[in-house]
Amino acid sequence: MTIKEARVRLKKMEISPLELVKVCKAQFEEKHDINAFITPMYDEALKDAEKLINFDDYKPLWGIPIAIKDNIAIKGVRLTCGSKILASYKSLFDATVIENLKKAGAIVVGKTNMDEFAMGSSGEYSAFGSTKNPLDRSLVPGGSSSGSAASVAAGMALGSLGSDTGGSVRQPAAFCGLVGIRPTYGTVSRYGLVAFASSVDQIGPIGTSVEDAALLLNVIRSYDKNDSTSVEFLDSNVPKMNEIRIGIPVELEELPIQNEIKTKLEEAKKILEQAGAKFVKISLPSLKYSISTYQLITPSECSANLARFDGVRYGLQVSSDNLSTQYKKTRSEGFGSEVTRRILVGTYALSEGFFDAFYLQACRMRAKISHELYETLSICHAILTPTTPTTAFTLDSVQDPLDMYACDMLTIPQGLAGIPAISVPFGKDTKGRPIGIQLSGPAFSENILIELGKVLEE
Amino acid sequence: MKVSKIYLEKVASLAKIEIESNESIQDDLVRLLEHFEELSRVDLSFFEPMSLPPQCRLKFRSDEPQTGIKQTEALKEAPKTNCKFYTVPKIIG
Repeated sequence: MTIKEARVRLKKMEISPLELVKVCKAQFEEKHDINAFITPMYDEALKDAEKLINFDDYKPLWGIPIAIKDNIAIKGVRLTCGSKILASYKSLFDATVIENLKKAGAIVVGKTNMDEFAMGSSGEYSAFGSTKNPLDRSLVPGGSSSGSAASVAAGMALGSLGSDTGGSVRQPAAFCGLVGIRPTYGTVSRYGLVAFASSVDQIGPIGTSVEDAALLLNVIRSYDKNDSTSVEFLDSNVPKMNEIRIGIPVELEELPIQNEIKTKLEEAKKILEQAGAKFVKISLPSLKYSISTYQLITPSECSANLARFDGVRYGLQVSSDNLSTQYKKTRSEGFGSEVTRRILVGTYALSEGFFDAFYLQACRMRAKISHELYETLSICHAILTPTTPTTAFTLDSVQDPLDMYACDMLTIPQGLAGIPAISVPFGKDTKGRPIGIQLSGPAFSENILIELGKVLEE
Repeated sequence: MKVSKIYLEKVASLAKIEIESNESIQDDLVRLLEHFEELSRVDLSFFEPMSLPPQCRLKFRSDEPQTGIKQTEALKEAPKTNCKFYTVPKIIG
């Protein structure tokens, strides 16, 4: 059931919020092995649902069960970020996106599993165990918003929120056959999102349809004075389809993309052409440096953002007589291997003697990649690519960090440039694994991307 | 540029993380950093380093006191306190 369908049925009183939550809870209990949640909240959700009697048309998510990634703060609820170091920490306040959801009448059904501190692309890096893909338990659901995607794909919620830094909303959406949106940087408040890479992180929606994801985005998006990088969303007119120009980067031909995904990309192109859009050849020569750029900038930022986890003010503490030793033991025991790797890469990149060659050089490359994107998007309305180079892979099959980072090669550039992107499910490969097609656009072009996404969806 | 394991241990000390006995992480780090070095071979002198997307300009709020989390609430989640302050092992002496 989509959110749209649920709203119609709620309005007609064919179903009540209580019944809707019970349906989602039943799915959770039946498919518990997927491990989509760190903190299920169905009991609280049932109590919240009982209070909702008269349908409120002014509340766009009235009675709708929504799952929340566990790096987004809800007051009084555990906020673990998928990490041992925060295993028993409870948030002292609501994130702005949670306030927006509550004002819209949404019912939160739980905090979803995730790769630790949003660092991962499979859902296998959580201290609370791996999440499985509901469509095939032997596969990963993608990451880092693994539980957010899995919970919606399994019917445990009708929509969810994740966070997207290098593709962590779009990639799991693609792997689970769902729609995921990465908003324009700054348009969705990061207040209450535990920071991974502050200049790249954005909270984004996951839904079973483009319309659902767009509705969720509209609810969570707001200017917020508590977020110093917050910007007001600028609505833009959507051109007629025959005025729309879309680019496909020529560099895709050199990338190791699964053949069936290439075929689907061609099909997507034909569908958009039949709808009236014109295609232009574009080039993004610096695309090949995206992964290195991202994997120097984001670890550098995370090394600063995660310095606060020292066991003094909150979270795990491994005591010692010496403060420095206490810090080291707490952090070494509390952080998993991927987080440790990235903190160390970032600390190295920022250290004296290496700052210019690593961090600053990566920031210059970020400027170059972004410049190429902005230039390209000044002559076309959108860029069409696959969301991921492969479909969902089997659990435990990718061990090399560099291979794992390569999963994000098509979703990283948008984060670096701060531009929006949508992933839309578009068929499956011969093994039945969902394929996602991605549309990226200039800042504030979400309305155009959503309309193009609807064309593909149909 | 060869990445030195001795320097990596110093970096780990800066990050307050132990890696002395973890050969696997050290090997991973060496490989990753040597891979990312590809960026240093590109001439990017024409580009200013970018730290934020262009639509964002950091804004300051007015210099007026605002309410925040109370002391008692902030201490609630701390592992060790003396009711008013966070407590840590002795630092001096």
